[in-house]
Amino acid sequence: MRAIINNWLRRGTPTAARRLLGLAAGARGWMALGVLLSLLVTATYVGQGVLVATSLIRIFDGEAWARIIPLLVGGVALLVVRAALLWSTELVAVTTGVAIKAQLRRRLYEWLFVLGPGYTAGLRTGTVQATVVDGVERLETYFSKFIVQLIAAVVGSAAILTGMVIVDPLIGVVLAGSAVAICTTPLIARRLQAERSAWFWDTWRRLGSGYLDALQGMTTLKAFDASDERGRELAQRSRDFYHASIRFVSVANLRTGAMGLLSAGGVALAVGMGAIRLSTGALTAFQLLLVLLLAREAFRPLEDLQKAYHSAYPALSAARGVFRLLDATPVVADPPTGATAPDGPTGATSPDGRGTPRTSTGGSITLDRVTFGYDTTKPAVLDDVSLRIEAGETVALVGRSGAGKSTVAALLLRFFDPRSGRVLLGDDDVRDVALTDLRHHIALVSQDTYLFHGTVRDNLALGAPDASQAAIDAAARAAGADEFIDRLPHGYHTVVGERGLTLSGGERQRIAIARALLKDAPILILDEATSSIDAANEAGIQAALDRLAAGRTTLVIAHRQSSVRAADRIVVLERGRVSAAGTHDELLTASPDYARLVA
Amino acid sequence: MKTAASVRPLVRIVRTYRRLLLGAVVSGIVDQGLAVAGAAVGAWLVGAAITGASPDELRPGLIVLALLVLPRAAVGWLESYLAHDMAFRALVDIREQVYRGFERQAPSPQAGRRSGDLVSTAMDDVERLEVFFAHTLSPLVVAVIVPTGSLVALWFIHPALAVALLPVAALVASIPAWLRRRAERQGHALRATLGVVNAEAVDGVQGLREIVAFNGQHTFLDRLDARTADLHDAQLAHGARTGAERAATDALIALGVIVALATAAALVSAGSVPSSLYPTAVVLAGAALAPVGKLGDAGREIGIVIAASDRVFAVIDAPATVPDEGTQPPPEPGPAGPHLGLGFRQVSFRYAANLPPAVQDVTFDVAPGETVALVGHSGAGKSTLAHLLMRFWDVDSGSIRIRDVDVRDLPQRTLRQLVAFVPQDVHLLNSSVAENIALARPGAGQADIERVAHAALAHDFIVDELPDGYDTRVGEWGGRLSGGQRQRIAIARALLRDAPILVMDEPVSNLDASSEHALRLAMSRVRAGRTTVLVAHRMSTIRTADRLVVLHQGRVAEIGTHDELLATGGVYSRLVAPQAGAPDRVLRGSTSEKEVTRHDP
Repeated sequence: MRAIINNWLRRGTPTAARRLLGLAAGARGWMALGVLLSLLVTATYVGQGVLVATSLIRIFDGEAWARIIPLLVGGVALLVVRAALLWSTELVAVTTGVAIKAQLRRRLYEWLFVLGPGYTAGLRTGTVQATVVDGVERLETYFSKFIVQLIAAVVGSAAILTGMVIVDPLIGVVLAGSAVAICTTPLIARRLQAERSAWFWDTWRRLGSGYLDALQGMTTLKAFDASDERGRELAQRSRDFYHASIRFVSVANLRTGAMGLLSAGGVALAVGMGAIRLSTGALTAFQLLLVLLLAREAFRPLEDLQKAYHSAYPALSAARGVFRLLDATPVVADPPTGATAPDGPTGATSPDGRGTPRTSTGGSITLDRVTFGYDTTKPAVLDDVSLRIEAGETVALVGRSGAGKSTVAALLLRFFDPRSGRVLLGDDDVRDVALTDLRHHIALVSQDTYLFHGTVRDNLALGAPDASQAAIDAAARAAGADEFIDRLPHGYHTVVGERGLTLSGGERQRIAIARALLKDAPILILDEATSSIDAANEAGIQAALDRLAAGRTTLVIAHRQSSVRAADRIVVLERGRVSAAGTHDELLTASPDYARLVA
Repeated sequence: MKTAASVRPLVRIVRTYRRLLLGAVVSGIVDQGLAVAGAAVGAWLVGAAITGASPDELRPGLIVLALLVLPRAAVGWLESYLAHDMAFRALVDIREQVYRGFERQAPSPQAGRRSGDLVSTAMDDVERLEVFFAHTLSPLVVAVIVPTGSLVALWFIHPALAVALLPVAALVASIPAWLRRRAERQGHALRATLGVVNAEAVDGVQGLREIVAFNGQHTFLDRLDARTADLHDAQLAHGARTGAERAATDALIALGVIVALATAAALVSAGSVPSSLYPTAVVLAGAALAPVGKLGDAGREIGIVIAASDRVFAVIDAPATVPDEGTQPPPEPGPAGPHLGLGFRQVSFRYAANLPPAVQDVTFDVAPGETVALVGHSGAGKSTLAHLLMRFWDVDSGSIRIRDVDVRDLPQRTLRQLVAFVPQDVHLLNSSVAENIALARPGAGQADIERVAHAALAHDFIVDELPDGYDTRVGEWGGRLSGGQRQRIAIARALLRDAPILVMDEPVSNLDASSEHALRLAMSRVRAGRTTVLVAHRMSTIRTADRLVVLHQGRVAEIGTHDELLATGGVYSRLVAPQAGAPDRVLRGSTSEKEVTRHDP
C-alpha cells in the first residue's frame, strides 16, 4: 500500500515529491496517527453498514423484531466510538499542523539568518516574506489535511473495494473501475488546467492588488481629481476579468460533473447489477444488502478528497518558494569552526555581561583596497576604497546619497563580502571571524530602524536580552527616549504597532540608540543616527552619542555637518571612491566635494 | 438578530442577481434530489429483488435509476456555473462599491490614513465573500429543502417514520447553535493568535538586519516558538469544539439511521409497511439527514463571511467625509492681477467630537501670488489647515474662501483644478514613473512629462538611477527612491497640474545637502506665479516665504515676516532660537501621520 502511495506521489519528478514530504519531517508520527484514525473511522462506517445489512436480513427472514435489538445496541456503540475517533482526528490534525509549522518555520529562519540581510537585499523582501509566512501556512494545510486525507482515502477506498470484490467479483470490479476513473479525473484535469489555473489565480490576485494600490493612493488620486477615472478603469478591468474567469470556471467544473456522474453511476450500476444477479440466483440477499450499503462508502473518502484537492495547487507553488530559499547559497559563509574573535574565544563579553572596549590592535578597522557591487552587471558601489580607523578613533564618512557610505557598514557587519580587497578587524580578516563573534563586537544604529512586534522593552533589549530594568532605563534616558516612553499607554510594556500606535522617525531612532547603548559593543556604527531627530532634542542625543563613542572605535555615517563635528577625522566618499580625508577645517579648504556637501 | 443584520447587505447585492441564484438553487435541489431519489430507487430495487421480483419486474426500476443518474453531471455542472457566475458578478459590484466608499471618505483617519492594514483587510474581505456567493448560499437553501423533501417521502412510506426522524433532524440542525457563543469567542481568539504569529514571522524577514546585527537569532526563534505554542493552545480549543460539533453531527445522523432501522423493523414486523420498502426507508433516512449536517459546515463558514461582510459594508455604507454639493463657477482672478487670493475666516475644526480642537478661530489671508508659510510645533494644526483647504475635511465653523467663494460652494472637481497639492509623504502608485507624473494631467505627452521632471530636478535621477528610466515601475523600485526624490516627483506632478493655487507640505526628515538644495530649487520653481500655502519645517524654507503664520496649539499666535517676528520676540523667536545659525535645522521631528494618529479616537 505504501508503494502505491509513493508511486502516486512520485508522478512527475520523484525526488521533488520525496523532498516535499521531507518538509513534514518531525510531524510524520502525527500524520501517521491521523491516517490511522481516519481509517478507523472508515472501519466504523463499514461496521455500521454490516450491522444494518444484518438487521435488514433478519427482518426479511421474518425473525422477531426483538432479535435485532443487540444489533441496534451494537450500532449505537459504534456511533459512540466513531464520535470519539472523529473528535481525536480533529485534535491530531491541529497538532500535526502546528508541529509542521513550528519545525518548518524554525528551519527556514535558521537558514535565513545564515543567508543574512545580503540575501533579502537582492530579492524583494516580499518574496521571502510570502514564503515564510503564507507559504508555510499553505504547506501546513497541505500536510495536515490533504496528504493525510489522501492516504486515508486511497487506503480506505481500496479496502472497501477489496471487500466488495470478495462479496461479488463482478460488482467489485465495476466499482473499482469507477473509483479508478474518479481518481484519474483530477490527474487529467490537472494536465488541462494547471497552467490556466495558475493564470486564473494570478490574475485574480493582480486585480485585487490593483484595487489595493488605488485605495492606498486614494488621497493622491483625489487630490488630482483622478480617482473617478481610476475607479472606472478598475471596474472595467474587473468586468473583463469576470468574463475570462467565468469561461475558465465553466471548463474547470467539467471535472466536478464527471466525478459526480462516475460515483453516482458506479453505485447505481452496482446496485442494479446486484438486484438482477440476486434474481438470477448469483448473489444472496445479504450480499446484495452489503452492496447497497457499502458501495457508497467506497466513494465517500474519494469525494472528501476531491474537496481538499484544490488546496494542493497553492501548496506546490509554496513548496517551490521554500526550496528556492533552502537552496540559496549564503552570500557570506562562516569560517570553519575553531575560528574565534580576535581577542579570544569568549568574544568581547566579560562574565558580568558588559562589553569591554578592546585594547591593543583589536579595535581598529581597516578597509584594504575594497571593491564591491551589489549587482555584477552594474558599476561597483565601492571602488578600491582603503580606509583605516584606529582603535578608539571616531571617523566620519560623508558623501551624497548613493555614494556608498552605508555599504561600508554592511561590509563591516559582513552582510556581504567584498569582490576584491579585505576588511580587517584588528589584524584579522572579517572572513576569518565567526559571524556571531563579529556581530557581537559591533553595535549599529541605522537610519531606518525596524521595530519588532513586541513591547518597547523587548525592542530595546534586542541585543541584550538579559539586561536589567535599571540598565534599560539608563540606556533609554541616555538616548533621550525615556520621556516619550513614559507617555505611552503602558510605558515600557506598550506593544509597538498595536492599535495604530506608531512611533515617529525620531522616536524610533532614539530606541535604536538605546538599543546600541545596551549592547555596549567595542565598535559602533552610527548610520545617519540622528537624521530624524528634531533640533530641540538633537543636542542632548548628540551628547549621549559622544559619550557612547568615547573609548570605542566609531564610524559615523552622515551627510550633515553637525553630526560629524565631533569626529577625529572625516572621509569624503564620492561615487564609490575616497575623494578626500582630513579634519573639518582642512577639508573645507582642500576638498570641493566636501565644501559642496556642507554648503 | 445580529446575523440577520449582517447578512442583509449581502442579500441586497444578491437581489440584483436573483435569477442566477434561483437557477443555482433549483439546479442544486434537482442535483441533490436526484441523488436521494437514486439512492431510494436503488434501495427499492434491492428490496424488490430480495422479496422475489423477477428480472422483468425489476426492469422499470432499472430504467428509472439510469434516468436519475445521467442528468446529475449536467445539473451539478450547471449549479456550480450559475453560483460562480453570480459570485463573480457580485464581487465586481462590491469591489467597485468599496472603491467608491474609500473615495468618499479619503483621507479621513478611518478609511484613508492608517490605510495599510485597513485597505488590505478590505480587499481580503471582499475575496472572502466569494465563498458566500459561490459556495454557501445555494448549498444552504438546498440543505433545508432536500431533507424536507426526503422526510415527506418517508411520511408516504409511513408517517411514523417521519415523526420518529423529525426530532433527530431538528437536533442535527441545531448543533451549531449550541456552541455558537463559544465558537465566536474561539474564532476571535484564534484569529488574534494567528495574527500575532504571522506578525512575528513578518518581523523575522523585515527585521532580518537588526536580528542578525544584534545576534538576536535565539531570542527571535524562542519568541516564535512561544507564540506558536500559544497558537497551538488556541487551535486545540477551537479544534476540540469543531471536533465535538462534527462528532455530534455524525453521531446524530447515524442515530437517525438506527432509529429508522428500528422503527421500520417494528412496522414491517407488524405488517404496516411492505418488507420490500424496508431498505428504502433506511436509505432515505440516511439521505434525509446527511444534508442537514452540511448546514453546520455552512454555519461555520458563515461566521467568517459575516465578519468579512461587516468590515466590507462598513466601508461601503460609510457617509462621505465631505458632501459634494457646491455649484458655484470657479472664481475669476480680480483686476489686480492674474492670481487668486485665499482667506481663512475664523476656522475651527476638530477630528472627532471627543477630541480637542485641532485648529481654533484661525483667520488669515493669502494675497494673490503670495507665499504664506505655516509655522509651529508638531500638532499646532499646520497640516490640518492645508487639508481643510483641500477639503479632505470640512471646517466645523468659519470658512475658507478662494477669492470670496467658500470652498464648500465649489464642486470638488473645480476645487481640485484650482489647487495643486504636494503632500508630505508622497504616495506613488504602482505604475511607471511617467504615469505617476501624468496623473496630474491625463493624456500628457512624454515631452510634457520630461519638461516638468526637468523643472522639478527629477529628470536626472529618473534617467541615471532608475533601471528603465521613465518606464520604471515604482512598486518595484519605490523603496529605493529617497524622500527627496519622491517629493520632486510630486512637485513635477504639481507643475504639470498647473493650478493657480499650491498647497505644499514640506517633508520633515533630513535630506543630504545636495538633495535638499535640489528640492528647495524645485519648490521655488513650482511656487513661481502661484498663490502658495506652505507647511514649513525648515528655516531655509521658512525664509523663502513672504509672510509667516505662526500657529500655537491650533490658534494663530503671530503673523508677519521673519524679521518682524524675530524683532517682536514672541512665539516665533522662541521657536527658532535653537536653530539660529543652523539654517538646515528641522523645527519638529514628527510627521503629520503622527499628528493624525494621535487624534485617532
